[in-house]
Amino acid sequence: MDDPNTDALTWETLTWQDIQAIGMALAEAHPAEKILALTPERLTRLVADLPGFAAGAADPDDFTLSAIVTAWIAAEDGDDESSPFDYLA
Amino acid sequence: MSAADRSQAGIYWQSRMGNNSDGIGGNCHRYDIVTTNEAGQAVRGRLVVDYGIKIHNGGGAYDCSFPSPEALFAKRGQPDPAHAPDALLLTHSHEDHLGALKHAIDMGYRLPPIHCTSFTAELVKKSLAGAGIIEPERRPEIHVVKPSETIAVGGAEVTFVPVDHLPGASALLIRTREAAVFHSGDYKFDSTLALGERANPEQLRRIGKQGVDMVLSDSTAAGEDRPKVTEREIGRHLEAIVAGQRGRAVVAGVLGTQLDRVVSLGRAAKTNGRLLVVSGASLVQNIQAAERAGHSLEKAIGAPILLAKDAYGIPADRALVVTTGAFAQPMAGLTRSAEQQPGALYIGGDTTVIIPQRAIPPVQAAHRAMVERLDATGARVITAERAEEMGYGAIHQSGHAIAADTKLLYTLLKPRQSVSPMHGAPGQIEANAEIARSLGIKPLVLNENGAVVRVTKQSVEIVDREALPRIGARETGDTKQLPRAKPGEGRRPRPPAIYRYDRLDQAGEAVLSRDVESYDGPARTPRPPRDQRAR
Repeated sequence: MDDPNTDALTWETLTWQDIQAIGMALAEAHPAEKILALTPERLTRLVADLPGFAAGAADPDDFTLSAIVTAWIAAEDGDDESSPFDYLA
Repeated sequence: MSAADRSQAGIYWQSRMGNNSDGIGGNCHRYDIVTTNEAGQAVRGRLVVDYGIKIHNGGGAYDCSFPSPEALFAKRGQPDPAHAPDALLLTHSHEDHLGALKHAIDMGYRLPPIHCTSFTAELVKKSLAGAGIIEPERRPEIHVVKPSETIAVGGAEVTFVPVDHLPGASALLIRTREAAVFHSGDYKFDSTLALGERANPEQLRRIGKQGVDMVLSDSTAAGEDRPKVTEREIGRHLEAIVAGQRGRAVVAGVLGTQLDRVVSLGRAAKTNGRLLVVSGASLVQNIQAAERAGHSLEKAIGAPILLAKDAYGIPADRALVVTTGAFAQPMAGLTRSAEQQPGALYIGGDTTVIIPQRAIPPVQAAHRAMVERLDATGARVITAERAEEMGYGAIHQSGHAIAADTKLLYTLLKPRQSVSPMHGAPGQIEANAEIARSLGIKPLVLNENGAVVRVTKQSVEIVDREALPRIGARETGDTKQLPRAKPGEGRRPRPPAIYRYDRLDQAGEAVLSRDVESYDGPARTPRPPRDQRAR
């Protein structure tokens, strides 16, 4: 069975709403980026410069940028969730 | 059961889930404000404080419960019902205080504006984005409050009072003409924590002098009557451990939210000429969120933090690698290393492993098994218990108020009417109450949720009780459909889960009905047949 997450769409369809795909694209395109020091301005530019990113897309809000960084880190490091019991520490 | 009468002037407090007979979690409190403004006009408002989950299992599929949103929030696309709150105030960023936000949204509810400090705001964004909640129309407004700032909301003046727990953790002082309630959230006193604002005893003393009628306080560790260990002392003990490991690799397993401990480990690394390397998405995400929120770990340590991808050329004995897994959670770095999974960080006979965190009961079996596996690799494994036996001293301290902290809080605030211990096992609740009694303060001990408590300058009284259902959430195996990528482009994070929501009784045990709300979010990707699932 085809994986429904991998069919026809390509990078040309990316918009600011495509958080996970942008995170994966950034991990591929900028493996040496120092993510901990990333500014919102630089992140916006890195996304806008991705090949085929939808031209003319409105600037992202803070929530979107935060979500993209989270997705970028997950794309680099893989799944690794906090313990649900952190709160009892 | 009909709704309680909340028409008289005062502050009405109700624990929706937080005084549980079956354990800590799902913290959520409702405050109804009935007051008058300067012009003498009647003002009514409603606040919700925290909206968290209570985890039911120690591993495997996600299984939790949380206060039902049905009588708390408005449905999306519908006008506000009479019960819709003016605001949702968050004390801090642990899952038992904000983990249910994503579930309420997925159930079709519209959250009111959220007010919280900057790090909590970042972790709300992370939580919602991780659940695939990215559309502007489903996201709540988030208003960032500065430490010690007072905001006017819901007819009350609410001050976010810094406490020592996590970066940005805040107690809430809710004040009207009729009453003042101090809602502690999770707290302790440790002036040596590096990140965020510190609890200020002078500020608390001033608040007490202005008058506090009731204190609701964290009981998690109130029964621990022993000398306190500060984070600075823990840091010194960690430095001593690292100093004794020359020529060996050092790996530390922490919790993803334990950022002050990462700072202590980073300082131990720096003192001993090692570079701090962090590994594990949840930990890196939280460090990045802290940086965005203005709590820089690199500044606190005084040295750069490297990510695992940047550290390949560094000799193992020149690095201190911090990864996740202190509670032996599946998929965490230390757990994967112990199980020698492909791609996991190597741990062997030339490695020292530090676990600066005591195991709590729900994870003790998994933790014991992980330590046994690590021992079997030949590594030198120093757990929190072993560190003391080996003479290094304590390398862990609870994040919650112990008896001395509890006594200090009450001494500073001097509540006029009462203290209500919350957020604890029954023994800890009683220990908290006993501390109040020892100071001549009458405790109000509530062993269950639902009591409606009216607070005024003259009295604290239970005026009614309401039945409060919970919602249970379990993974269905289906996932939310994500924007797609071509095969092989990047490592694909796990798509957000879709949950089944069940209505539970007040104790969280009996299932009264199933699928109480249909899932209301992005498209669904069905779980693939068993023989086609990725392993």
